[in-house]
Amino acid sequence: MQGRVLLEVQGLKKYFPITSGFFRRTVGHVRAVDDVSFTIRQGETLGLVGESGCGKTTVGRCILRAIKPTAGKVYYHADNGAIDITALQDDSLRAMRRQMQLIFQDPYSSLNPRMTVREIVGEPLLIHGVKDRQERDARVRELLKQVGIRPEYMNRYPHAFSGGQRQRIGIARALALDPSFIVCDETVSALDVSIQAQILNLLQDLQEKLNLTYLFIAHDLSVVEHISDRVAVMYVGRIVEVADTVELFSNPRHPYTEALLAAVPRASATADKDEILLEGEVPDPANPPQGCHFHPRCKYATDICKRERPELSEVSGDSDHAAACHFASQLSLRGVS
Amino acid sequence: MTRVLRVKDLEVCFATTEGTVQVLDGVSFDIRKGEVLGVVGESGCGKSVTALSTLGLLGSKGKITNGEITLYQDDGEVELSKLDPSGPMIRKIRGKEISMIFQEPMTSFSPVYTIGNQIMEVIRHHQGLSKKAAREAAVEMLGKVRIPHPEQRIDAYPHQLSGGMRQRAMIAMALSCRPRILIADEPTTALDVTIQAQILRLMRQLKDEMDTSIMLITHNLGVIGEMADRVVVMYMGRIVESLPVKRLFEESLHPYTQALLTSLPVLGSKKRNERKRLASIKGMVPDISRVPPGCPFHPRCDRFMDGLCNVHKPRPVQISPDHEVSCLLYSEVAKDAG
Repeated sequence: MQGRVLLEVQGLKKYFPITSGFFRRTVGHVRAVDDVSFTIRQGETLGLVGESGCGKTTVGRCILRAIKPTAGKVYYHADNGAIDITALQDDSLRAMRRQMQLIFQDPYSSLNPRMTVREIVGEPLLIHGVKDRQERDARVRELLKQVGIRPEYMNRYPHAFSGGQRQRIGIARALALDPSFIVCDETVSALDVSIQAQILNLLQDLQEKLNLTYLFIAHDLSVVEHISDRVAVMYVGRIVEVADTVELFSNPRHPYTEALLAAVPRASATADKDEILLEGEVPDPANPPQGCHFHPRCKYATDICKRERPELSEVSGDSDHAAACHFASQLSLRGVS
Repeated sequence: MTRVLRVKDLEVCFATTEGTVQVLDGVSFDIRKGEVLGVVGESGCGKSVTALSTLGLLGSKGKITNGEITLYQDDGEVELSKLDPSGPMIRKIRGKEISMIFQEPMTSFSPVYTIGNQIMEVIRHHQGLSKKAAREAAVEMLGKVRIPHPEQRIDAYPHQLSGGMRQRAMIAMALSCRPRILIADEPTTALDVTIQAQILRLMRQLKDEMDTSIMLITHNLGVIGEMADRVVVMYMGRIVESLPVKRLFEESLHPYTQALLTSLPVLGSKKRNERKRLASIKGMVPDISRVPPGCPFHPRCDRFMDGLCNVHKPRPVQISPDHEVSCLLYSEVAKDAG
């Protein structure tokens, strides 16, 4: 899928300090996000996958400036030129936030139980200057209809709704200010399969109707495959591979991607799956291994992997496929399809 | 194959502030020796309650109002539903004949004792071993579940272990007395996919080694497809279909089973430049205190037949020796009317 770049992330880093002792001295850093770069095009869905603790949520939060990145730039390409989100302050940041919204994972803790749906969905409007109550209510009604909640229910509190309905309310709130870019952070992982399908369909419908761009963060690979146009795979704070969805799933070029795909339980699991299954666990991001972070678990690792960090670079013959592996072009790895 | 557990016409009610709610309605199934029985369904369908009633763990609010749960031992049968839930009989069975692993390994271990302590407690309770012998047995079990350096890790507290390691320790505890039946309630749901794959492989290996039967409760059909021999599908406290896993993906008959399968994205099925919609089930699972009359799935069913599905409660229809479906499409009532 080609289109103009909407969001450009360059060298993004976020280090969280580890403090110790009475004076909270900094004794080290958790490198949650360690030099991550990627782009998202207008109207597409970029899937961001990885195991817990790999930094995928932190990437989403940094882009939205919910937390301030340690280093790096995030450019938002508006019609009138590029804006560096990491450099914005107060008012300009608040104006920018109209364009960028977040849908959370947990439909239970992300809605204030003491506010009615009318207040929850109307709050972003109020904050951004829609003072007239009737105008606000009219917009709330329209939003609720859009996500499939009956507007008559707007005076109810969140506890009166099921998990799937609450997630719809969260989506309505995110849409309130007409954003162009939405970060969906594990938006469907807490839902049952039949409800998950409804919400995925809703997200796709809204994307087409409102011309939205998504960063879809999730750990469920089949969901990510379904909804994403392109997918980036993260491991211990770094992107190890990024490609068009079908290309990534059928022709992975990074051993971690191969292992991740093989680990997904499937009815049609092949007999030699065990050979690809990973041993060991994800390393501690405060103290990651030298060189390629994946080398202690990688069966293809050689000496160079222990010493040198592989850069994320284009795989030969495909400008849209990049992998951070010294042997990306030599290895023949197995995907799914 | 010999049966190790039979559940027949099980009904369970819970007392709530708004009156009594029936959460299981006529649940029947067998578990055979050495097999993995998968139990699937969405939240609140009664999967976990089924497991808990087997072990007499329903708590003070829950009550078995009808039905039988029979455990087949080498020297006879035990009727579990009749046992006092806090009596000595069931305590001899829990952990020894039937044991259970839970979804959240953090909350199912006590945080104030070492994992070794907790595993040794099970071993000593059931086998009456000395402290030293129990410790040796616990180290051996931890080694079996491939926890590195078991002789050191045995003295670790649960919080010192990672999620995957805790789940391994949990499995070690559950299998320490070589139970006849292992109930695994969403054992890998809280784990990352690469760790999940490790744990599933471990469970398969230990099952073969110890000839344990497993009742695997999960909402993940991929896990079922990979692990189970037979599967029962539950909806609102009833079993709607039971069949061998080999047939699940191709030959399932119940509209709910079929809808569940089509609402899942399938890994590796995407085509280039394609945007597919998922087939979703309309509406949502009703509140369990307001079970629709007739077939509980009828308000959401695509093949709803007015005057039948909302009136008659479907009974299980035998399609083939191992395949039963509770749907009026396949029963005599429908044929008569049609």
